[in-house]
Amino acid sequence: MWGGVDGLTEPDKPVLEVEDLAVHYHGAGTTFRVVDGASLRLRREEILGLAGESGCGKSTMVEGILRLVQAPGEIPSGRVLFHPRTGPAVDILRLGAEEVRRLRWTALAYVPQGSMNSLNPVARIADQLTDAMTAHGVPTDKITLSRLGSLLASVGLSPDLLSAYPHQLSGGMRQRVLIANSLALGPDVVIADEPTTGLDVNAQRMVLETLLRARREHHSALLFVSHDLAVHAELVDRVAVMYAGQVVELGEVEEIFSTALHPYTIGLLASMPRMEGPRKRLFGIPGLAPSPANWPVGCRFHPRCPFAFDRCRSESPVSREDASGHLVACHLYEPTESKRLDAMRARLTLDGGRFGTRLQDHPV
Amino acid sequence: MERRGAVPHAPQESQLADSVPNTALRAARIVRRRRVLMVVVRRLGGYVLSIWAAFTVTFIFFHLIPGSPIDAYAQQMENQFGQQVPLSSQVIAFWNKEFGLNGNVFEQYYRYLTNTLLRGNMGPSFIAFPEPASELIFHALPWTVGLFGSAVLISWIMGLVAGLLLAWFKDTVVAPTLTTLALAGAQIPYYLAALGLVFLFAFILLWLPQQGAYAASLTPHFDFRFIGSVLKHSILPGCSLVITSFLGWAISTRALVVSIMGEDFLLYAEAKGLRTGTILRHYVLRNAMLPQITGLGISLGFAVNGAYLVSYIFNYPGIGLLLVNALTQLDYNVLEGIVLISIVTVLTANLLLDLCLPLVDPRIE
Repeated sequence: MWGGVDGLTEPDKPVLEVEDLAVHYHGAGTTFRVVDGASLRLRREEILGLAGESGCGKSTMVEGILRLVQAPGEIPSGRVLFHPRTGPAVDILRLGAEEVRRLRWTALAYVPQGSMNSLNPVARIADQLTDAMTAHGVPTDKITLSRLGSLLASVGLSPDLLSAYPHQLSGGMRQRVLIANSLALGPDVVIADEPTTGLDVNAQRMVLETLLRARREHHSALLFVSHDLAVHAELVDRVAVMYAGQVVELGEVEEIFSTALHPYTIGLLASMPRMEGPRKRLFGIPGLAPSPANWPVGCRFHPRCPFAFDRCRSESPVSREDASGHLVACHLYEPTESKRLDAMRARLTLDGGRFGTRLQDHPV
Repeated sequence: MERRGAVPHAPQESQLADSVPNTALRAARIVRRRRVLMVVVRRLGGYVLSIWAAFTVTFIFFHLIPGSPIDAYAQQMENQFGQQVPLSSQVIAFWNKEFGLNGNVFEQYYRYLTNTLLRGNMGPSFIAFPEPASELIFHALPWTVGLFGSAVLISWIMGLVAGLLLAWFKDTVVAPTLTTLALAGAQIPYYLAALGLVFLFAFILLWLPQQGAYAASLTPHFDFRFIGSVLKHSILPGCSLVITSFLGWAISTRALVVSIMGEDFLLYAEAKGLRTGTILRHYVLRNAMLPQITGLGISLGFAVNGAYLVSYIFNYPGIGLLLVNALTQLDYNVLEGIVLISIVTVLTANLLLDLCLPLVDPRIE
């Protein structure tokens, strides 16, 4: 959508590859397989959106990628390959503690979700910008007041705030401080977890523009996590849709919005009101999101999927990629099931491209 | 720009550097300074008011004690000499005047306030008459402050470090066991620890002196032998205080640190790739220390009047021993003096704490 960025060297070369990542939590006598075999590939300098409803494992996946999972959580399997600009790829999950520490912030920066409590309440903003720089070997005389000030200015904040404490800042200002901080070392990848959630539209626009500028100026790739599809449509190049701890569909943002493949994505889009076009009744996906303690056998979406058939209940679908690089994990797209796929398409056409439960009290 | 050493993508840097201490900030600083001054004045006013109230309550309580201390004194003399010693009215009037008991209650109250508050004069001691009670107290005070003050400080620092370690390594095998042991150890009363230590080191092993503040053969002099003796004599009473209270500090620090370790800003600090030392010092300790500083202030306030039993067990010439002696011999003026000193130290510690906390915690205005 924002293609044609200057200095885009090898656009399809991945900078981060997540393969079969699993993050499990142990508690109450069971294992919560919050993320369970999720894969995605972040290309250099692209903005990849990670979408999905609450509780599908988006934030946990981010923590897994950054190796920030805290006990009682663990990462039982998976690989997170980081490709530096020079040199061979490294698996972040297999690195030693000191190697991971050095990789953080210079290679992988993080904009956390809980912006209200992510800053140290007893340290000045300047100190919290500085400590990451010194920890990664920026000499003290290179960290000037003007450098810190321009960092804040780049997210539209006054340099006066350098001497402020977090409690003196509003939520939107703190969020922007976190973003400014993540760009301090020009990282290869910025992983932003719901950076616009809870902000008013003005602050949202500011955040999005800052993230876009980060790519322009630092050539950073961005993994942008949000449950808000409208924000994805606004910002990202490609979208990965997560359901029940797995990535079920991944494709160019226009393709996802025009011709979504996975029934879940279709349902998700049907539940989103549109500003343009004729007024249509909104639909909700029937049923409830499953529990990570007990994922459904087979395809995890099958209990809620109106197109499910026998195979979906027993066999989990494998992700397959079409010629344009659009990935989907659904049995309907296997060559042998083309008749069922045609049936689904026919039914969707009849229903105006939508399925599911009509939402009540929504006038047409 | 070149002079400063150019930073990429910051073309407006000189302008930014100049704008930091701008006029709006300066104005805000002046307003803030005025507000701080107001707070200090208000706190000081409250301090003086509480001292006055506490002194008045003390006065009332001591006057509520049934009977006159002079009568009790006469009674004591009679018992001592086993015969009737009729005290003449002049003698009684003399003693009453000497102890500030002449005139009506308001006159006495006025004299009491001016004497104690303004002159620091608490009247003569009964036991050590005519030595002023204040003299006795100020002789005992340095011993108490020295021993108990340093014991509180040492146990606070040790507890902070131990609690930090217990929390940081909470997922290891050893830490939970140590925590349980500390929890049990913190419940041991300090006087029991004192008795145990005396028994072991002073009676069985004979390593350390069992009582006193310095060897009886020495006279207080500022030389190495005397100081060495003082230090040697302070080991057992000091340890009995440190051992139990440091465990208490460790337990509370551990709880604080564990809750801080669950905070978002700690995860963020880790994500930034900070070194463990930086995280511990700037993120964990700075946040855990704030409530503990409040606790330290309160403990230091009580250091003067706390732990009488340790003072008694070790026959340590501090306030504790003086208080026990004054209690058993009904030395009213000394008792009153100790009560007043305790009040003043607790209130002063609280005042200093109130005024200092905003310096360490930016959230407190």
